Amino acid sequence: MDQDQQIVDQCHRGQSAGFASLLLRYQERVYRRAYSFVHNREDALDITQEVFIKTIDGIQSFTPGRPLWPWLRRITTNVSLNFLRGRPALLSLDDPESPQVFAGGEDPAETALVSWRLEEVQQAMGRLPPLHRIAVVLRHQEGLGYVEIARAMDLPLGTVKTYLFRARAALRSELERREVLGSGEVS
Amino acid sequence: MARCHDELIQLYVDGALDPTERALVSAHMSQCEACRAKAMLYKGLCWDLEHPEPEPVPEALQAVSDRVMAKWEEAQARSRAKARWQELPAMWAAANPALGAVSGTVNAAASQMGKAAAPAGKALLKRLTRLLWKRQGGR
Repeated sequence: MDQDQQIVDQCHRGQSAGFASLLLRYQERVYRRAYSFVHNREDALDITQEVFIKTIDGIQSFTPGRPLWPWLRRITTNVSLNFLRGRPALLSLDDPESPQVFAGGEDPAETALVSWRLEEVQQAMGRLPPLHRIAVVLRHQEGLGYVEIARAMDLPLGTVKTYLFRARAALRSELERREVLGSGEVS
Repeated sequence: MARCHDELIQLYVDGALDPTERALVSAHMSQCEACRAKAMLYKGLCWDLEHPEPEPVPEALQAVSDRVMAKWEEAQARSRAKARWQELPAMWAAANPALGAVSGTVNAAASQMGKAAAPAGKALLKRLTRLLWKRQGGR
């Protein structure tokens, strides 16, 4: 019996050890996913708490044998979207009025180059409009297809494609400007 | 470079084109150095997006975990209490084997009590007790 099934069985029997195992196994993953959506530590913690509180009720009707992560990811996505819908200013598709200034300006050591680049990418992600960012995370970190993303975000497929196109174009442009990515133009 | 090309290149790199579109874009890129360069950029970007640095987990996550665990314990306690209420009429009937005639009533009441709020359940149980008392001849 795999670990997810064991967790679900124990939870169905009302055993606290099962739910404690679920928390231990998935709390960091849920937190990180929430953070990748909202890019704010306190908000990500609030979302993580709400996700697991919903899990307490939902686990009773969860079918044993199914993997837990897709279900938890769906709850995390829904809770994050609801959180953002409750804050229309955050949900704006416009760029922030006062974009944060990136730290940096010093030459990164060769060994830290990849780490630096990934950090720059994450910072650029943090500046995307939240819905664009969620679409990018679901596509490139969760590996969902376009149709699955549309379903997860409750949006038309065309809208998801537009969000992804704009997000990647904005990231490319930002990272080129910061010389994180080489210029795509050829002379 | 036209916007439509940019979108097609993104979809090409992302593997989201159908085979015909993919062949067309591929044929175009074999002729166009600018599009090839752009595709390389998007490929690099996609790799970066797929390999994020793990976000450090704050210590406060443990407090979240403790609060959620406490909620779980509360929910289990409620669930156990509800289960006891549902079992009570059946236990009553089992303790009074002479009352087989009313066992149907008892079972129906048990089912209702599972759905009802606790006060309604208590009132129902009181009525049931009176009924059983009369059936036993008021002994």
